[in-house]
Amino acid sequence: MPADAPLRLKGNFFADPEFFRTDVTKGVTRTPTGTRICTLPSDFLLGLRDAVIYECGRSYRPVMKAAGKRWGLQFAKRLERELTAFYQSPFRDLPPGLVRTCLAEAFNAHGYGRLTLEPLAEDAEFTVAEVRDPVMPSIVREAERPVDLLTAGMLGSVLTQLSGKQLECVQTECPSMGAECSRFIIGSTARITEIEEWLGELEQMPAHEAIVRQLTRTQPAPRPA
Amino acid sequence: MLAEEDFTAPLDRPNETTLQMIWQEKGDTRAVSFLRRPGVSDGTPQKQIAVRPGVQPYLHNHYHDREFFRHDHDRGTLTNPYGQRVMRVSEDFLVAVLGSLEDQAGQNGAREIMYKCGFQWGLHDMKRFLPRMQAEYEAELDRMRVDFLMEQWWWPLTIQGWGTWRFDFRQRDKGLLYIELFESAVAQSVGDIGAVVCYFYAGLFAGTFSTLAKRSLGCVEMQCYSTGDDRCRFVVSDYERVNAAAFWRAEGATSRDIMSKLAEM
Repeated sequence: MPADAPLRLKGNFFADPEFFRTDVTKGVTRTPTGTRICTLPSDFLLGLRDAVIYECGRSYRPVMKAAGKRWGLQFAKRLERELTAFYQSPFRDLPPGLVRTCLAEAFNAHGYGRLTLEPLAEDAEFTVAEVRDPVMPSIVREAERPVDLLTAGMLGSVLTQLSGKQLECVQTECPSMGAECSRFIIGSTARITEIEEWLGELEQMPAHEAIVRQLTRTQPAPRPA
Repeated sequence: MLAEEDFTAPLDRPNETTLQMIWQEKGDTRAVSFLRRPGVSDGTPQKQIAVRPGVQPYLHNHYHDREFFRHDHDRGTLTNPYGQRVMRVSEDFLVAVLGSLEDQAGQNGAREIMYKCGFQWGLHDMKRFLPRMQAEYEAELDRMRVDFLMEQWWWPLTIQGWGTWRFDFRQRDKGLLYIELFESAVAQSVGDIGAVVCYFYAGLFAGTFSTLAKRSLGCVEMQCYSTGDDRCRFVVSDYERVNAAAFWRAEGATSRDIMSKLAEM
């Protein structure tokens, strides 16, 4: 196909060493497309978490996740616009592997860690996302529950936008709980919400494998008429 | 001897002991290890900053993207020259957080969260900054000029895309500190919405200047890019004046009006 050649030659959208350029006279960082960028130090993220916990108490988890969801939706829309312009090809026509690579590169360039996305071996309806060296767990060293709520919300929205289906995400492993990396499962809203409710009833966070077993064992709840 | 640190104090009103403890930290040479030029000095702290011609023991002017940000592509991580983890976000993040917090916690709740977030950010930042300054300049903090400290503190925020600032200490004898902020990352992301939005910054200034003053201070934004002005303007002071300034702002007073009323208080 003649259209394939220029697509392959495009390379990594984020590889430009001048991709993030700061005008130090103004204190403004922009990307080549003019998007304003701001760098969040770990102190900001810790402050945000502390402030949400202080104000919202036990309901801080859905609040943080909701913020991540809203951010993810805008993040995906922007990525879609920028990649469409970069590859000069409608985003929906780009090979899924390329889209995943671009998403991983976006994570990498922004400093969110190394992202890999794979279908769940037991049920391809679900996707497993793995983030190595994630930001939030590097700040919150110890916790009884996963702490990467912003990323969980964000990944759910990003994959919703990219796939065109309504998806939700739940974090199943977290370095703050001793895991090697952050691991997430993304699937239909109904199934993931069920799993989140199940997790909420448990005193201790089960292992990723146990969550997968629960996910693949249960049938989707019948929708109310 | 200092009293014990109070862990039950509100997030944006730490007690004096907590603030004084930040000043007692010694120089942190690890925080500036990436900037050290070996063999130039033995690292012994002096009373005040020594004038040293020629090569400096530490690289001070590292405020360019490639020098400031250290990107490890194999790990997908980004750190600053002080070894602190950072992450880049587009303007979408700030808009999303603001909108989402308003949805979840209401407008007042969202403002409280953003202000307290900023306050904690300022406190944590000062906990790193003050020991780092002692190590980088090999001198005692008490002998450094406040304006020098302030410019040193803000520079990393400039390269991190938080805009530029100008502070005005001329009314410090009245307990009033004014700050002008240019290119606010929050306000410019949100746009002109007819209300002040830079609560993260207000909290940040309150936290930072509380640490410097060793007593709890507040901050309020008097005018904002999001209300159609060309810059944002803040006042840092004690709670009585800050609350009064917030009240006058809510009543529709301009920053000039607020400043003249505050001077008369």
